[in-house]
Amino acid sequence: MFMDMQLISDFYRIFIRPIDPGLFMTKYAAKSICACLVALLLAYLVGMSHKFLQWSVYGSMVVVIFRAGSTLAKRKAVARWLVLAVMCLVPISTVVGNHTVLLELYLFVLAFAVFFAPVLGVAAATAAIGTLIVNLLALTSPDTLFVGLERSGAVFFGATASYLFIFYLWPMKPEKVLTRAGAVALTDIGDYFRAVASSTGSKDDLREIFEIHERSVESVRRYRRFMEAMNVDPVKELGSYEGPSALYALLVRMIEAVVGLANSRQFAEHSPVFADMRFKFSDIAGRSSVAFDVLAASLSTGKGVADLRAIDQGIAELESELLSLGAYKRDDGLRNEFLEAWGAIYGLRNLSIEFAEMNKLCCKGGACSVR
Amino acid sequence: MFADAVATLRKEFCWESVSFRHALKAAAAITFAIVAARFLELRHAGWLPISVIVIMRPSVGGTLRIGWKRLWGTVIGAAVGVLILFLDPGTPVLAGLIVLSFFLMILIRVFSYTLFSCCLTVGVILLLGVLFTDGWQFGIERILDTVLGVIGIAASFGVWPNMARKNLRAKMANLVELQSGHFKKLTESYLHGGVSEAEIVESRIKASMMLDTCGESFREAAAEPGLQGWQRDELTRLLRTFTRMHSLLMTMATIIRRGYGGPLPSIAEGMADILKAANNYYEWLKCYSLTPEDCPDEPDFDMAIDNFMAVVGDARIRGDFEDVPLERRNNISAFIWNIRALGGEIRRAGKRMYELRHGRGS
Repeated sequence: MFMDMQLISDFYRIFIRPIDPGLFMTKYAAKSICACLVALLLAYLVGMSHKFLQWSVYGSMVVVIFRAGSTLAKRKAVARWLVLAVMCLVPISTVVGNHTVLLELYLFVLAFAVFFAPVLGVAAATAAIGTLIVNLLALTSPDTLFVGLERSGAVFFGATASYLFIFYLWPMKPEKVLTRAGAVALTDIGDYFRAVASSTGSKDDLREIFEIHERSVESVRRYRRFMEAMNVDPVKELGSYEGPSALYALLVRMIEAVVGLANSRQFAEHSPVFADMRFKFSDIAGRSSVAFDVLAASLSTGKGVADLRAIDQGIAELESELLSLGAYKRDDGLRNEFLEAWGAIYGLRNLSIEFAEMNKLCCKGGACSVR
Repeated sequence: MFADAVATLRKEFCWESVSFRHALKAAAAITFAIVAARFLELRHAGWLPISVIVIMRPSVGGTLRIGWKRLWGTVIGAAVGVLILFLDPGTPVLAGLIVLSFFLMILIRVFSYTLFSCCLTVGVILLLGVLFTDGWQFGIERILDTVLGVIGIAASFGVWPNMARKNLRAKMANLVELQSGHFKKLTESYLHGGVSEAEIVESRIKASMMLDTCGESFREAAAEPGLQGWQRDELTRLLRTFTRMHSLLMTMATIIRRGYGGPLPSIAEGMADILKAANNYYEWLKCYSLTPEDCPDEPDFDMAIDNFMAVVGDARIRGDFEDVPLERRNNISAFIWNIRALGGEIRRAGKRMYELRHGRGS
C-alpha cells in the first residue's frame, strides 16, 4: 500500500507536476470529457438520428475547447456567443457547400472575418476560430437547408448539455482553487529557491534555474488569473493585505526576494577572501528551503509555523563576518566584491522577512488576511 | 462596448494594419486549401483547410514553428493510431483509448502543441477506425493533408512573406520603454515616495508581458530562413540580457520597498544623480533599439558610477555611516550593487544589438 502511494507520488512529481501542478488542467480535462460524453449520451437517449450525433458532439466540444475570458461571467458569455454564431452559420454553410464558387467566396469572407477578429481581443479570436472550424465541417458536407437547421439544433443540444454540465453541474469552487493555487505557487517558489541555493553556477544548473523560475512565475500568474476569474482585481487591493490579494502580495514579494537572491548568489566568486563566507551562505540558504515546505503546508492545512530563528541568527553572523573582513572600511580593490556580498546577504535577509510575513498570513476559504 | 468594438474594427480595417493584411493572407490560404482539397478529391476535404487554420501565424517564423510541431505531432499520432488499429484491440478498448486521447489532448493543449496534435490525431484515427473498416487509411490521409497544409502555407509565405525579424526593432523598443517606465516608477518611489505597491507591480506586469511577447518574436525570428547561426545565437543572448534586466528590476523593487525612508541625506544628491544617469541610459537604449543611426553617443555609465562611489567614499570618510543601522547600510549597498549591475546589462544589450546589426568583432 505504502509502495503504491509512493509510486503514485513519484509519478505525479515526475510526469504530472511539470505539466499540471495542482491538477487544475487535469480536472478541467476530466470535466470536459465527462461533459462531452454526457452530451453524447443524452443525444443518444433522446433518440437523435445517428447522422446528427456528431454535430451534437461538435457543439459540446466547441464549448469546452474554445474557452476564453478572464472572469467566469465572461467565459460564460463567450461560450454563449460562440454557440450562437455556430448555430446561425451552420445552416448557411451547409447550403453554400453545394455551390462551388459561392463556397469559395463565402469561405474567403468568413475566414477573413475570423482572422480579423483578434483585433477585438483574445476572446473574440478564440471564439472565431471555433466558429470557422465547425463551419468548415458543414461546408465540406453540404446538404439541404433543412438538414442544416437540424445540424444547428444538434449543435445547440450538445452545447447546452456541455455548458450546463461545466458551469452548473460541476462548477469550479473558487475558494478551494485559490488556496490550492496559492500553495502550488509557494511550492514552486520553494523549488526555485532550492535550485538557486544548491546551484554551482554550471550551465546545467543555470538552465534548471531558468526553467523553474519560469514555472514559478507562471504559478503566480495562475493565482492572479484565478483571482480575476473570481472578479477580484489582484493589483487594486495589493497594499491592503486583505482578501486573496494578501496572499498574492506575499507571493509577489516572495518571488522578488528569491530573484534578488538568484542575482547575487555567486557573490565574489573569484575572490578567495570570501570562500568561507560563500560556504556559510549556501548552508543558511539550504536551511531556509525547509521554511518553504512548512509555509506551503501551512497554507494548505492552516497548521504549522516556520521557525526562522536559526536563519536570522545565521544571517546576523554572516553580516558580522563581513564587517570583520573590513567591509565599509577597506577599499583595496575589493569594492565590487563587498557590494556583491552585501547584495547577497541582503537578499537572504529580505527572504527571511518575507518568511516572517508569510507566517502571519491566515487563509480561510480562499480569503487571506495578515494576523 | 459595441461602439468601442466598431471603432477598433474601423481603425484596423486598412491596408497599413498588420492584422488586416494577415487576415487577407489567411483567408486566401484557407480558400486555396479548400480548392486544392476538392481538386485532389481528398476524402476529408475539411482536414486540409483546418491544418492551414491552426498553423497560420502572422509571421513566417511563427508559422514554421507551429507547422513543424503540428507535422511531427500528426505523424507520430497517425503512426500510433494506425498501429493500434492493426493490433485490433476490440471496440470497448478502442472507445477507452479514444476517451483517453481526447482527455490528454485537452490536458496537454497549453503545455505542448506537438503532443496536443499527436493526441488529437490518435483520437480522430481511432474514432474513424471504429466507424469505418478501412480506418487505418485515414492515418495516412491525415499525414498527407497536414503535409499539404504546411507546404501550402510555406508557399504562400514565399509569395508574400512577413518576416518576424522585421518587427523586432519596434518590439524591442516597446520592451525597453516599458522597463524604463517601470524603472522610473521605482526611482520615483525611492526618491520621493508616494508610489503605491500596486502601481509598481502593475507596471512590472506590463513589462513582464512584453518580455514574453518579445521572447516569442525572437524565437519566431530565429526560426526563419535567411538568418545565420551566429545571428540566432545573438538573438538568444539578447533575450537573456533583457530577462536579466527584468530580474534586476524585480530585485530593486524589494530594496526600494525596504528603503528605510529613502536615501541618506549625505548621499541623496549622488543617489538622485545615479538614478537619473540610469534613466538616461535606458532612454538611450530605447532610441538605439529603434533608430540607432539617429541616437546620441552612448552615455558613460561607468563614470557616473565612479562619481557616485566617490560621493559614497567621501561620506564614509566623514563618518556619515557610523550611526546608520546595519540594515539600512545593507540596503544602500544592495541598491548600489543592483544599479551597477543594471547599467552593465544595459550596456550589454546595446552591444548585442550592435553585433546583431553589424556582426561580431566589427
